[in-house]
Amino acid sequence: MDRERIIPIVAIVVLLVGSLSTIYVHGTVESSDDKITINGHSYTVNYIFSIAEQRTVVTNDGSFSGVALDDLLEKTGTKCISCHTYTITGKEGYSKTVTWKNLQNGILTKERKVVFSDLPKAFRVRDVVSIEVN
Amino acid sequence: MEKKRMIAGIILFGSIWGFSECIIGSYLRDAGLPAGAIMTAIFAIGLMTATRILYKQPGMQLGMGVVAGTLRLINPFTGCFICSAIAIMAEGAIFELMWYHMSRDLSEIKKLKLSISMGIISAYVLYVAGFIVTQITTPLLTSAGFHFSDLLSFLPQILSRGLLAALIGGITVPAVSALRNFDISSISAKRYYTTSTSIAALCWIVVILNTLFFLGA
Repeated sequence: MDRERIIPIVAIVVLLVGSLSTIYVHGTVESSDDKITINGHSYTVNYIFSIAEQRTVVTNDGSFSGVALDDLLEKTGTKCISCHTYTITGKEGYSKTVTWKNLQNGILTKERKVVFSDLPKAFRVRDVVSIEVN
Repeated sequence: MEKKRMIAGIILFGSIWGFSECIIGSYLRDAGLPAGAIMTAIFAIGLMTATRILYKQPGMQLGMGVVAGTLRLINPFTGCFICSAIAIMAEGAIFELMWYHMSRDLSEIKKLKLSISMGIISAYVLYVAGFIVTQITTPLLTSAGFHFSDLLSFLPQILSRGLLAALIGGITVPAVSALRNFDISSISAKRYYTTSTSIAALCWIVVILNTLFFLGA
């Protein structure tokens, strides 16, 4: 098959992949209710803020306040906290896996965004829906 | 094509690309616009296609990616700038690979259907590949490390977001194709080198001043 036929076919396939991914993404976006699942258990943001200690982290684009992630994991019953890695997932499926050491420099804001003072912006997961203990 | 003229072209267009990534990209992000798709489909694809048409020299776009990536490296904005620099360089290399089998005079893209198709494919692949490169390199350069499952779970989003880049790319390449009738070698050497050096220098100066301003703020 010559180039004149292949190129438009590939372009159509590309558009199909993009369109189907968009349909899939919109169909699987998790609801953004007030709850966050931590290690299999569901908690409201208000409850999370009532049990865990507050922390302010300073980054190169300002300071952010929220609940300390390491304390939150401890208070929600994670055993041997330093033995695990933690996968934080946002509403759109964006997830980042971090270490215990990173959690010690991280917070969860009221807007359900995680911010780490020792990690780049790419680790700021928005609309957090779950924190899994691996 | 004179080699010296081509190198000046690489530096000029690579600098414009790097400048746009550092300065215009930041403004687009601050304005809440889809900066990644716009930067890839308009600036990266537009500039690389334009140089391919004007200079008819494969290999130039890889050089432009290196120049643009180097310029991005000195700009400390938006998180992992080393990762962004690597992604830009990767975009240059991927463009070279995709356009490798095209004829030197790009006679294929004279047809509207083919130029639209090449724009769609190039913009989509570049956007998705650039995104994946940053998703891998950013964690690798941190204490958190790279976890394949993180990339896999976000892959549908990346493939979805590339659709906008593909649609814009489908407009950019036919628009840039209009440059086909322009003969870059018709510009006198004096005028060509003076203009290209001045514009490239201006791009670097603005980015460096921007960096110094950021560090001093």
